[in-house]
Amino acid sequence: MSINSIVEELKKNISVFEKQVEVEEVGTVIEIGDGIARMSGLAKCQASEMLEFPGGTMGVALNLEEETVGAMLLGEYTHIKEGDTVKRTGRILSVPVGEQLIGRVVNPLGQAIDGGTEIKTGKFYPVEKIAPGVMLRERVNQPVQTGIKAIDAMIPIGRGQRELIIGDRQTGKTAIAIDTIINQHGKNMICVYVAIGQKESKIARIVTKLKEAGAMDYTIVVVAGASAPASLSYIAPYAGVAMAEYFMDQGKDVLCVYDDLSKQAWAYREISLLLRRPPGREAYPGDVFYLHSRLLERACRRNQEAGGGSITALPIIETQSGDVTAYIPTNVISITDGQIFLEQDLFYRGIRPALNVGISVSRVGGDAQLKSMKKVAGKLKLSMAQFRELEAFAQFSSDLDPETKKQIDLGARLVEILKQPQYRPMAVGDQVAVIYAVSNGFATSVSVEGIQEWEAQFHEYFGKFKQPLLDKLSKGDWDEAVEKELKEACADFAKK
Amino acid sequence: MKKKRTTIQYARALYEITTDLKGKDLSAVVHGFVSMLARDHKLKQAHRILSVFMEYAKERAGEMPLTVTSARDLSDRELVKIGNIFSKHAEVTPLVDKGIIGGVIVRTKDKIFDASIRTQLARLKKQLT
Repeated sequence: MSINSIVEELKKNISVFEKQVEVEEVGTVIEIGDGIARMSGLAKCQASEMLEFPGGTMGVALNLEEETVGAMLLGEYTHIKEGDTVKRTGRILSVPVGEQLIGRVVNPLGQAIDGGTEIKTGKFYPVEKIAPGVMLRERVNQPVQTGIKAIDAMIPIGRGQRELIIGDRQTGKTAIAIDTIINQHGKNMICVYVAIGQKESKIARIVTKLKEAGAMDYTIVVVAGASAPASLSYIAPYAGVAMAEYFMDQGKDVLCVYDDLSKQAWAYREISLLLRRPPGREAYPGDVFYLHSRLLERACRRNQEAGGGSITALPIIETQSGDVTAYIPTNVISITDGQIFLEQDLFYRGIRPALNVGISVSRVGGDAQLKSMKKVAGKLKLSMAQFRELEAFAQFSSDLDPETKKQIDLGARLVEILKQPQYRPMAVGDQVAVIYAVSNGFATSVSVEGIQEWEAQFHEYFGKFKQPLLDKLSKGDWDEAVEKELKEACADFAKK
Repeated sequence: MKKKRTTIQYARALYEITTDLKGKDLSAVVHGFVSMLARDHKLKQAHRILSVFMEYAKERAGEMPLTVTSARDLSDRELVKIGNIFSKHAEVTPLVDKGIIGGVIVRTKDKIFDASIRTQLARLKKQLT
């Protein structure tokens, strides 16, 4: 473009520019501190409206009182003084949404924090939105493959489900979520990972891992780090789900991980106490249940008439020394459609993922499970249940009757086969084949310690010689012919 | 439960009942009002009620405090002219801020009318980018 045309363009733009007197409604700061501001004026201010403070800092009106408005501040506030002018924006708190966000690391306001270019999407979604109603929903009928054998077989998750991941610190909660995101490669799923109150170093490690695995091509990472103000931690999951809703509105399936909601509850408690709302149990405010229920209700599977699409939610809750009867864990357990329990004991015994299959459940995912997996998993669940009952006798193995001993041997091998290293999600076909082989006794001759090695050889053999069969199993095909083929394949492998 | 009344409600009530009263009637009503405050244990807030009352009375009389910010000193005539647009009894406080380049910014109690060159330029910049 020549200089002249640029000048022409500028002239044109300036000539159409209309002079306008801006009328703004304002208030005055009467109290500020701890990320909270109290203002007088702002008579027509709406709830959760954005307010502009001097220096461009934004705030959200939370308490509308007789003479004052209480707001939380979304950012730096040390420069704001008493008596400063606050402007109404007339906008409800909203975040930018769009394809441009994919592959980026953003803060809860949708601003890039990965050092990349500024994100311009041109489209905004409100952070708070009412969840889709009954008429727009449909049963969960498609699976989410986590790539983790124990979960896909025994605690299946469907698209549109809310499955809680709960456990103490350092039990592998995040690992499960990250493995699930990595496994969504090529599965037509967009992932949103919301990190709330996490250490920045941990987030950096996760993002690097996702990049290495090629998972950032379909993932948005929303970060409210440990150093971010409580207000950002509080809105982070809502911002994440708003970004997810944009893709759902286009009929796509989205997976949302909230890591973790206990920290969000802490942030909300902090804000509520500073706003002088009355504290209740464990000093949480009265609406802490609603805090999580309105977030998780936004996960849904919409029917075709409503445009289709789904949001699957994987909230994470950290318990303190295994206490699931605390306030927040019980709340979230009752909201979600099932939970995955992770236990420290199991973790230290080397059973990783440290899943307690006895009390982990999935209330709706069974409908969505592939037929092949369902058939194989039925037997697995039964054997595992029997094993748990007999486990106590395992130490007296010499005095047991042969039938019991057989069950214990099988159980020990099943436990071994359900172990899985981190960042190594497995295709569903492979999972079905190996679980079938073990639960039908093709591995009884292998020692328990040797199962891992046996499994590696098994997958190598199947990948080399039985690929068509694995493809069938991945599609969910299961009938007598397929079962026969699988049985023969297992026998062939056993012979080698 | 007895309904709680707010400072603003007291002040407004006082204004409504005293507007057209004079002399003896007025002092009788004020006396009644004070004894009501005493009964409601609100005497401690009398000062606050009074200041809200004054503000409210001014507002009702059409008096309006205005702050007019401009880039250079404005003459009294100009200030009166600006004030008259808003109210006949405007109390204009002039302010000078070179930073706004030109035009004026008028601030009433809870609104800002921004006709400064600085804001216009900022808007133009936003439109061009």
